[in-house]
Amino acid sequence: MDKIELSYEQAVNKLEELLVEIESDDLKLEDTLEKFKEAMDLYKCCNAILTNAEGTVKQILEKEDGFAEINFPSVFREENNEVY
Amino acid sequence: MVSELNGYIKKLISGDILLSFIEVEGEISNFTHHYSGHMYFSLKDEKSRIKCIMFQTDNKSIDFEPSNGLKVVISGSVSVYEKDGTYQIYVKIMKKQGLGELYKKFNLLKEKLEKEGLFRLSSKKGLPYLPKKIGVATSSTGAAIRDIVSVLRRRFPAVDILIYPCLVQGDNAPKDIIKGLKYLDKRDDVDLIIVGRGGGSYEELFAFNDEELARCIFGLSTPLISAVGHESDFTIADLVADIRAATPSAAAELALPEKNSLSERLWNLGTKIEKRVFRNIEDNNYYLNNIEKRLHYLNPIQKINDRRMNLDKIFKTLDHCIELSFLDKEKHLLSLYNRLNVCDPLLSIQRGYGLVFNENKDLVKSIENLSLDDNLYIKLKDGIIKTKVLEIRGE
Repeated sequence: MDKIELSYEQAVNKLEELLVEIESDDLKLEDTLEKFKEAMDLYKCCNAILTNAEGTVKQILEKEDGFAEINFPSVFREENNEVY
Repeated sequence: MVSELNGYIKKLISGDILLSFIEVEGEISNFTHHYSGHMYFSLKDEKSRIKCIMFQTDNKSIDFEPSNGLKVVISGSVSVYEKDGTYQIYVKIMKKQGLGELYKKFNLLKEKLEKEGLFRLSSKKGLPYLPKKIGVATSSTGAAIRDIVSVLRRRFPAVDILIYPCLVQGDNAPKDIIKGLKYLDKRDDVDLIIVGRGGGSYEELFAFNDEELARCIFGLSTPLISAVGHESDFTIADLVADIRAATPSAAAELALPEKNSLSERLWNLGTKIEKRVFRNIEDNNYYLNNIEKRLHYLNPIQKINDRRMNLDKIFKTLDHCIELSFLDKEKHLLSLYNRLNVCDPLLSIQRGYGLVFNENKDLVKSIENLSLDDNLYIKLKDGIIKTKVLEIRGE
């Protein structure tokens, strides 16, 4: 399972699908366990996205040689120090 | 009476349908903003003037400072102030005159673009479910960006925000916004764009009614939310946008789902799957146990054991029978023996009797055949006596 390729939405939708499959009565135990493993991987992956560290707030700065990103003024944020 | 006359005139004028809703263009003069909050002024053109009053409740909504000499368009109704015998306009709405032109321009562009299909629902893009990075094109100062950033971060702290600061009013604003949108659209890490600004006057918001900007928004490949001014403000940009938000804060709310609701959904999903799988395992276990029980019941060992027990039982019975028959025989033998014993002649000898034999070793039981001088033998318990018959006496 390629975790990086899946967006949160895709992962959650896949989880929904797995639930439906697992709920079906004619699934073999081996398949159930395999799907369960896949589901738990997806779950962890989704959970990681949700509990990810705080995102960045950047501002574009136009310079002669192109664009640069600088941190957005701290007024709106608790922490921000580095300037790019 | 004067009051009756004025009352009659008032009734006449108030009853006139045309005068109950009028729109008049003119220049403000004799403007007074009374401390009560009401506005008193005259509206004039080159030839004529009319008294006007605008009550505080109505003039609150004016987004500019009325002053003498300003050309305005007002709407309201004409009525009579009976006390002074004057008629005047009771103003409900006041707009700057120039706005009429802007509004016409807006309508023309709207019609044109609508015909071209720029507002068509079918060409609107869906918003991403959970954007990783949101581009925001707006002024880097002011309430709009502050609202957007704080709402976005509150809803989903992990989201990345990239702000392209641009002018949002004035003649250069459209070009600046277009540049920002194009830049954000070209980046492949931005998966949603918010464009907009906070509230302002109609002219101030007019940058978002630019044709070039509208076409730029239409051509973007990244989904876009527009948020221009307040709920009541509608711009061309709003019409072309994939989604129009009433305010910048509302745009941020549309842009991201709330983390808690996502977490809850995910948790529910995880629990459901876990429960279901455990139930499956349990069901299988139960099934297995069941089979085990049935197998146990069907186990041949059991049958063998049963048979063995049966066999044991039979052996025991047999044994018993044999034993019994032996005992019987023994008893019988003993009784025979006893009976024999009783008959044993030697037994009498033991008790002191003697047995008499003749020469031929026959037992002599009577005097018959006996003659005098016959030799006789008497057997006693401890020996034999040889005698002679001396006398024979019958009884």
